[in-house]
Amino acid sequence: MGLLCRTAATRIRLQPVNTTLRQAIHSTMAAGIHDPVMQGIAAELPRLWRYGLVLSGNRDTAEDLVQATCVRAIERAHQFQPGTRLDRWLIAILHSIWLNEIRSRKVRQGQGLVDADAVLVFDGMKETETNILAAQVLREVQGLPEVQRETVYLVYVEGLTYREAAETLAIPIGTVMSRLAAARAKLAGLGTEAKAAASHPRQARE
Amino acid sequence: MADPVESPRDGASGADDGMLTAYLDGELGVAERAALEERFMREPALKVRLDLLGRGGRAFGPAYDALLAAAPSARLQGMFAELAAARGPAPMRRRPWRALAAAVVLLIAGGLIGYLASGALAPRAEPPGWRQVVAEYQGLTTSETLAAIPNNPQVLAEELTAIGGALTLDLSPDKLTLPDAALKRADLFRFKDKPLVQLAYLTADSGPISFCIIANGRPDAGRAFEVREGFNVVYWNDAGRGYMLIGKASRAALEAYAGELAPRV
Repeated sequence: MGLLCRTAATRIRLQPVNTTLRQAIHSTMAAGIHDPVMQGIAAELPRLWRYGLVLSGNRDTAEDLVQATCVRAIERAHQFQPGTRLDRWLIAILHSIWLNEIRSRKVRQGQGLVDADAVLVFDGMKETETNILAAQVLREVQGLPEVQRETVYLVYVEGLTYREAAETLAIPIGTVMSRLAAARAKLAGLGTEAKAAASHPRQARE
Repeated sequence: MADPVESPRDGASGADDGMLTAYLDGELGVAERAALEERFMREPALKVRLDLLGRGGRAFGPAYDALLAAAPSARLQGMFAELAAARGPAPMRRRPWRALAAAVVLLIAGGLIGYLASGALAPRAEPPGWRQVVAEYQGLTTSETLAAIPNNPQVLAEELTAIGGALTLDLSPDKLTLPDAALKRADLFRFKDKPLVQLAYLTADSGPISFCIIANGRPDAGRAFEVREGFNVVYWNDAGRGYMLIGKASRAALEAYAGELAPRV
């Protein structure tokens, strides 16, 4: 590690940053770096942000979600059971914060939810064939109703089993199945069935 | 028809769609799977439906991988570092003149966390001791890090008083002076819930040297020498506290500094 740091230090260009960070990182390294839970959380931040973006469709909201998730995870780190999946635990926390706090606040404030389709355009992303295909898939998924989108994301992207997804979202397994089925139907272009599924009260986009 | 899976209530074909999706996703048990495959034989429409739903699949994983690269990783890591630090001992004071050092450490920590995240660092057989952690941290400190800190005896004295309190040690500046080495800063850390003090000196000849003290409650031990992470280290234990001097300075120079500091603190 020391070697890595010294190597990295040689190519760093200094730039002004938040002045409190030195103390902060200083302490993290001394106090947290050998704490597996803290280490694990740090490693999950980009994936948590991605989930936040999938849910909210907004980069800033995604960052807020990650921060709120970290606050809660640090508070409750002692409740995390070693041997279980830390990423699943964090995802469940983020989902719960989204559902109970941030999402409802946005709806209440009358902001509605951002059209997710609009934000998934990456700055400076090269227009390779791979990226164009990827962007197409993202657009399709982001076009699904929120509950279908998050279920597709958890099962097909994050690799949760139906059971894990059901536990994370606090819904029955049958609902996971019906959401995925409705999503598949819509992506396959089966319009009427998708509409019928989406009109189910549990699945309606509020 | 036996349907062991909880039926969704999506409409006419909803229950079957759920089953078919579970079939496509490999989520059905052996018996459920066999029962469904038997139905495919008898109900061609069901098989057609399966194929249609299969067309609703996508290469989801690769598509979303691109999003990870778009994550504001440096900001997220900085945010997390602040939160993690707030959980530990409160920062002594906000020192704006440390901005430069902050940038260095932030960037390195970002890389480091990425390195850890990539799984490159397998769990060690034994948790590293405090000297290892200090040695790793020493690797982040350069002469420039310390040179950027202005000499301010009053600020330093305040820091030393506050920090000394954490270890119930009298750390007045006159006890810490060393020949040819300027005391630049004092920091209080926490290592495994024990207070750890780092006093950073800058020497003209051999760059940064750190004198560290931890209240580790270990039995007394005479002075010893080791090389760790490429640094020379002189360490000993006295009255329930561990001490170490670490730097690129020669063993003889560190021994001499230890000889000066040990009787005073």
